Amino acid sequence: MSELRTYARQTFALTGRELKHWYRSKMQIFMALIQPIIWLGLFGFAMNGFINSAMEQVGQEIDYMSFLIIGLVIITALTTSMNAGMSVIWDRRFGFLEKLKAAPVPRGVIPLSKVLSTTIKAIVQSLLILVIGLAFGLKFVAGFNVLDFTILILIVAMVALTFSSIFVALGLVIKNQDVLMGVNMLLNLPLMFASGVLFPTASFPEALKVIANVNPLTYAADAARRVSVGDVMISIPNISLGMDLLLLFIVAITITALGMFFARRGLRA
Amino acid sequence: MGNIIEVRDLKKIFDKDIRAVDGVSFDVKEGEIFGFLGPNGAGKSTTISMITTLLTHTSGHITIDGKDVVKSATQVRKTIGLVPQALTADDQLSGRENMQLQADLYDVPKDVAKERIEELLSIVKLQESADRRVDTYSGGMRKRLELAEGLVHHPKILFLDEPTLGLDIQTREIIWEYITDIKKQSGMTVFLTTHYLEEAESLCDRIAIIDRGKIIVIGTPDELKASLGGDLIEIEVHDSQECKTSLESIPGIDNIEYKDGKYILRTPNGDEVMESVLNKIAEERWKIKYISLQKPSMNQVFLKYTGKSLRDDTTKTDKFAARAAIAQNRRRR
Ligand SMILES: Nc1ncnc2c1ncn2[C@@H]1O[C@H](COP(=O)(O)OP(=O)(O)OP(=O)(O)O)[C@@H](O)[C@H]1O
Ligand SMILES: [Mg+2]
Repeated sequence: MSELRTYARQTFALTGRELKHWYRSKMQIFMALIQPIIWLGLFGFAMNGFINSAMEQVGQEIDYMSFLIIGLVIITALTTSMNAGMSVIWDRRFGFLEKLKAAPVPRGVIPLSKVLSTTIKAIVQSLLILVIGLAFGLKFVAGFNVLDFTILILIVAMVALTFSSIFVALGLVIKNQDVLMGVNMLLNLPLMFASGVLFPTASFPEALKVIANVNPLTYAADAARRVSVGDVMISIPNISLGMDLLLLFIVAITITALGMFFARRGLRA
Repeated sequence: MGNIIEVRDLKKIFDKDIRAVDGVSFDVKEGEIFGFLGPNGAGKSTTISMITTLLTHTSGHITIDGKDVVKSATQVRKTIGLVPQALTADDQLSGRENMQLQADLYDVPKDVAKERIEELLSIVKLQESADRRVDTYSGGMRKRLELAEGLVHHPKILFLDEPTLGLDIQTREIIWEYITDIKKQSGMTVFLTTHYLEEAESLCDRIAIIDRGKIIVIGTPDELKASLGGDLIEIEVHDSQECKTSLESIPGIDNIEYKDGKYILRTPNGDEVMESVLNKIAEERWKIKYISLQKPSMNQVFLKYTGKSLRDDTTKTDKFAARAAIAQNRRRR
């Protein structure tokens, strides 16, 4: 029992350290917020007409700005998770990890605190994006309430949990910043574009649809849109919100467990 | 006092053929300051990493306070404090925040931690900069912070890897003083590595000289120096007078040699014999051209055991000896 209290204190301290880095680095927060603004400003306006005409052809009508803003909430959770992998590499290079390893800290606490802090960052950022989104014309679906909002936040948390577990484990196993950067680039684009996050998959060719349908981000974006901007915007119409959430939950638990396993191995080597 | 660290036939082989640590055995007694003295790449840091559970060894056996470092890693980690060679503080946090983080990681009770952090910060003279981010610290300030961090949980054994590397003389002396003080006050055992001869000599109760992954000799600084065969007194007299018989009557001299016009006296007790020699000179009215008393230095000790000099400002004799040693080494290969 007292050991659990010790672990909690260690986790809390290390998570706090990450969050201190984050809110002290004004540039990092600025970059995290300017990115969605650029996305909305360039991508949103440029693709709006294009997407709408594509959607007309499949007999649907969507509000692309609202669609994209929810997509960006999910993308920001992904990008923040990728950064967590890089921060692990810095900790190793600057010797901080060495000091952590010499301390009586259970190995699991080290990746866990990275994952927790990333999840908190992702949640805060998604709130900021929603506020920015309002200025860009984000329209919540009629009847959007506190429960819907809570589910939206939980979805962001599950995405961050899943992907930060992956990238923290990668960071601990790979150890080399250039290789990890390469892996990030390699995964970033397919994860983003072969999914329903940025575009409605209705207009995708069949092969791409198949990939999008196994990408957890598609389900995350779908679930997020169902509760916030409306059913018409979702990519996979024949599964329910409950099913979406269940899938996300199972993926998050499984991947986090796997991530912790590999992270511990990476720490030992 | 018992042994708090026991290392037996420890080996670490990197990449199949880099024998960083090549069969090292030694004991560290509870409460002593034990030093690893060796040149760059000798295997000092690698040994510390293995003892402090950071690196798994290729073969051998290490126990700390009776516990096996592999089987009881967590227990061992609670017992020890490590100040690594590299600077490892989080430079985006302040000094005080780094200390607090360390206290949290070692689960030092909150009220104890609060007091101890202030005390340690004042000892390493960082109170005034404690709330500044560490990336604004100078190298010496960072090193002092590292030292303070290693002490937050009052470890039973403190490991210091090159504790004064890159520090100026004053700071170095303050740190030496501090290490000696904590040892006296708390009975903490200290294991340190260094390639500074003065540091090894003035700080350590016992020294192990390590080179190329092997311990060459272990002893107290005095023992090591005595192993060179004692002090030397050199006397050169005008007109090559015959003095040998008179000198031989002085007690306490091991042997007398006559070389290049100089008498070389070897003795375990240079100061006392020197006095008798001076009396003898006055008595016999010898005209003296040159006289000197040489006590063995750690550098000579190092030279004898490794065939290398660690000092840049080598004395003339050392240089000759070094050359001879180098030649000898070449022949051996
Ligand atoms: N991870 C590693 N992989 C391969 N070789 C290594 C590794 N770590 C250390 N070595 C080698 O092991 C040897 C001993 O290194 P170590 O760092 O222990 O020396 P040291 O005595 O601490 O030297 P210094 O005074 O320079 O700190 C060196 O030859 C070094 O190149
Ligand atoms: Mg070293």
